[in-house]
Amino acid sequence: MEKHQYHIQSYCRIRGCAIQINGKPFFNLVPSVPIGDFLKSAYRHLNIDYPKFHKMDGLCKAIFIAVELMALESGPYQRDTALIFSNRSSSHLSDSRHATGIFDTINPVASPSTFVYTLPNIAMGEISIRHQLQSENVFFIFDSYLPEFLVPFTASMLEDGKAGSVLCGWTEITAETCDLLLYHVGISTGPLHNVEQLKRLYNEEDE
Amino acid sequence: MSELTQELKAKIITQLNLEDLAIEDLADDTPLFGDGLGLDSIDALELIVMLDKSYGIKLADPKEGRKVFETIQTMADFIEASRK
Repeated sequence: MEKHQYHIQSYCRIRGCAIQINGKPFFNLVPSVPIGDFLKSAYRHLNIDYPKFHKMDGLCKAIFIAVELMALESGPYQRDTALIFSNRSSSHLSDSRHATGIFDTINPVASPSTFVYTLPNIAMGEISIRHQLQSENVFFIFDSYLPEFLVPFTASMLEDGKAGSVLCGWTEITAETCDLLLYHVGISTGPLHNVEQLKRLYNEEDE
Repeated sequence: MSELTQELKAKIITQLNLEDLAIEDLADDTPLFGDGLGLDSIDALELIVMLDKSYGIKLADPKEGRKVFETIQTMADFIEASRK
């Protein structure tokens, strides 16, 4: 049983080639472009200088942009901000790129810069480095977005004092599309952190 | 030699995803690591793979890499010397 009521302090939704921050459009490309081009354009639109971004795979890039945007909206993260991410395809984008390289019949090559992203957890490392987090983190693989699991898991981490706040959500990035909802949960004001609210945010259309 | 340094700059920018850089931004004597381009250990591995795949050169001694990968010029010098 939760002792405290937790709130969604900020949230970012990326669907296809459109990004919303706290329900408001931030950036979109029409007509849609390949996901790599979209993420690069979104990064340039953010107008920040972080050259390492270009070395990341699609999963890391999408998460990086969302987490960065939320920090711009609601201030820097505390060091004890935990990370609870989930998706369906794990690091499939990098896995398949790596497989293409090593199984090439003419010129097989294992590229270290591709191989290093063949785990979804790497995205959490990138975020922790960027925002200097020293916190708990976990990456779940689910069939679909599952707030029924994420809400109590997040609440228990906060209740147990293992984190001061939590960056949490769904980060499904494939070669074709981006389906991401990340949100920052804590004790500050904002929409209530519960399953119904998170379903609503996931299904929310552009204003 | 100049042709080789230009080629190396183009390859490094592409292989290491240095998308904010153009060939003109890279001087022959720009340090690749540390305060120069700021490459990391994964980039170093990528450079070793690049030497092997593009120029057929295997670094026998990993310690050799520190000197070879100091700048574009030292890389070009090493490739030229290995060809002789």
